[in-house]
Amino acid sequence: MIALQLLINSLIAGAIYSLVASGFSLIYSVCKFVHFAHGAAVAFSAYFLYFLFSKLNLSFGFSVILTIIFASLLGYGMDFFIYKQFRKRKASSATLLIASFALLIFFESLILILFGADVKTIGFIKIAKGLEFFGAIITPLQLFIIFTAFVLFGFLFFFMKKTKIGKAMRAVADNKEMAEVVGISSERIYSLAFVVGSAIAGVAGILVGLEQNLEPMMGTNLMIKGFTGAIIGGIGSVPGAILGSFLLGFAENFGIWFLPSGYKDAIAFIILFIFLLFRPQGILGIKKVMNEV
Amino acid sequence: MRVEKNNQEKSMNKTTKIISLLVCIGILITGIWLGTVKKSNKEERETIKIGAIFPLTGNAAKKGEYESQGALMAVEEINSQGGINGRKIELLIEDSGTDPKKGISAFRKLVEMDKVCCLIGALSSVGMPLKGLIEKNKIPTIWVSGHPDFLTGTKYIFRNLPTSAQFVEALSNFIYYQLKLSKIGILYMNDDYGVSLKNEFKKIFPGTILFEERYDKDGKDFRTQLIKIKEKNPQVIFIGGYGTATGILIKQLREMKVTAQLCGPIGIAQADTKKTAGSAIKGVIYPEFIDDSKEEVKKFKEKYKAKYKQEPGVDSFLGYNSVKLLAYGIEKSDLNSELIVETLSNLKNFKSATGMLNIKNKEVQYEITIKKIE
Repeated sequence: MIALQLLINSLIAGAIYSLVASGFSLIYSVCKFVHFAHGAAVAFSAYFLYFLFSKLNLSFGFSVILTIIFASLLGYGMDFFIYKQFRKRKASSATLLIASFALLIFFESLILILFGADVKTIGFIKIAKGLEFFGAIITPLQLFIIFTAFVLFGFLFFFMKKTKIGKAMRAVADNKEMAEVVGISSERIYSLAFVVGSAIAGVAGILVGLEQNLEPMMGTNLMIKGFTGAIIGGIGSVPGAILGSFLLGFAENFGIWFLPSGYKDAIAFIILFIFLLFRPQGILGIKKVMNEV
Repeated sequence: MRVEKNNQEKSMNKTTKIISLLVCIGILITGIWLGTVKKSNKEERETIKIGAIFPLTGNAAKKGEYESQGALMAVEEINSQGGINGRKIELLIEDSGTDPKKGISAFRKLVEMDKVCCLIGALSSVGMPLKGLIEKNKIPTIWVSGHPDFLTGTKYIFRNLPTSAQFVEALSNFIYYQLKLSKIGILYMNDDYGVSLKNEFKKIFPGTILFEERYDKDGKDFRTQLIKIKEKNPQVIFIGGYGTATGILIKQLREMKVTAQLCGPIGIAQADTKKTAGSAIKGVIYPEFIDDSKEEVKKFKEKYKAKYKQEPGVDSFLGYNSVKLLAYGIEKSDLNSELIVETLSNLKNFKSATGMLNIKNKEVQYEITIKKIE
């Protein structure tokens, strides 16, 4: 019973981390730089949903759709107005990394100005007593989060493998020059990666907002865990990032069953160090290394 | 050229003379004026001056505003009833801006220039460096401070704020003797405040403590930690914390079907904790010293709202009580510092804006009631 409950807790944590990590990793694999402002996209989406649903009193479904569209536009805007301008000036990925930090801080401050520092709740789902499965407890919302995450990853997989745009993205991710030779515009693919990645951030923002309430700095915290998950799984690989995030969720929750709960973050970062030291390419990074060899 | 210079010197001498004459006249007039003012001051010596040092600017400005409004209300009330033994009170409020240095200059002004007989004030940070000065000048003082060491080594200072130890004691007694529950678990926030609450609770609770678990101040996911405590099956869980993490903790406790009675400090009834916990907060008990159901409190609130067009804060009550207590001390002891301190030290059943007050060990003892969040 306890093992099952731990499993469920790990799945919930893993689903949240992986929702953040997958979009982040998609953008990284295509554009080859660390887009920390992805966390801001998650946070801003959550606040946008709060604004539409709790302030303007729009219907929940409509608010969700608008929020996802908004998240895509936000991602596109960040790429178009900031990153693209840097790329034009042949900026290194370190410059882009710093720019992404600036964007993260900018958007968090913007949230602070627009919505204030106090905690906001999206009152869509009232508190529910958990459902019981063989003695383990899970709330309907948490079940929904796990379910949505898996469905979304299914779609993402299909999109990357079967659609033309997805294939083009993988081509650019694999070898930008070669892709351009066969007529794929890398700039267009970059924008698309931001649109798709940020849409996932929008979904993450909605689900996290429902589950954990809204705080202006929520993006940073989510990004730290998402980033750790992505590194563990192999940062250039979207399936790897998802796998890594779940692994992180499992390690944290099973870890604090044996250790005091204060060690939760320590467990996460020790795993991060171990991977950076002994397997910097991550769990699913192996294929790529083999190809390069 | 020479002639001109001489002329210049002459004219300069003239102006110097005129200026010195004017200065002399000025000094003379000021002297006479000061003399007369002093005389008229003597006539007005009837007023009793009480000094107040509140943070009217800076990040605790709201606190200072409440304090001074409450204090001024008490002064007005006393004066309208004829003052203390026929003499009116005058409250001189100085701003500390939460800055200890400004607090000291405010103290110097109030005590050395204005010659106040007694002092009230707020904030431990401002009060701590004033302790020595207060003792040296023998000024009976009532201060709103939560610092545990505030009263060590002092004679003239009283604390006007229930300490967390008093709150915890009331809560512990209620759980053990009223609810008759003895198996308790403690969850506490991993900061200074949480740790001190845990230690105080442990010291005072007579029953068995099944576990003590820390929780993260910025945490969002406590589920796995909560399975651990659910196993131990406590009757009551004391949650030593406040703010959003505490709200999330309470929410997840209820989601995990932990049915124990939850209780916590006054901070657990804060707006942000309530908001994050949602309906899970229902039934949580906490200690409170301003009981809305009391007649005195209702009356105070009404009067305050009519006067200042806003709801009183906790500090409004404290500011009001500080003045009332001092006024009582002065009335019984006629401005003798030693006597005022003695009178106040043995005060029993004093009627205040929050109900009956006693003073024990220089601490104002409030009646603490246990409330349930609906």
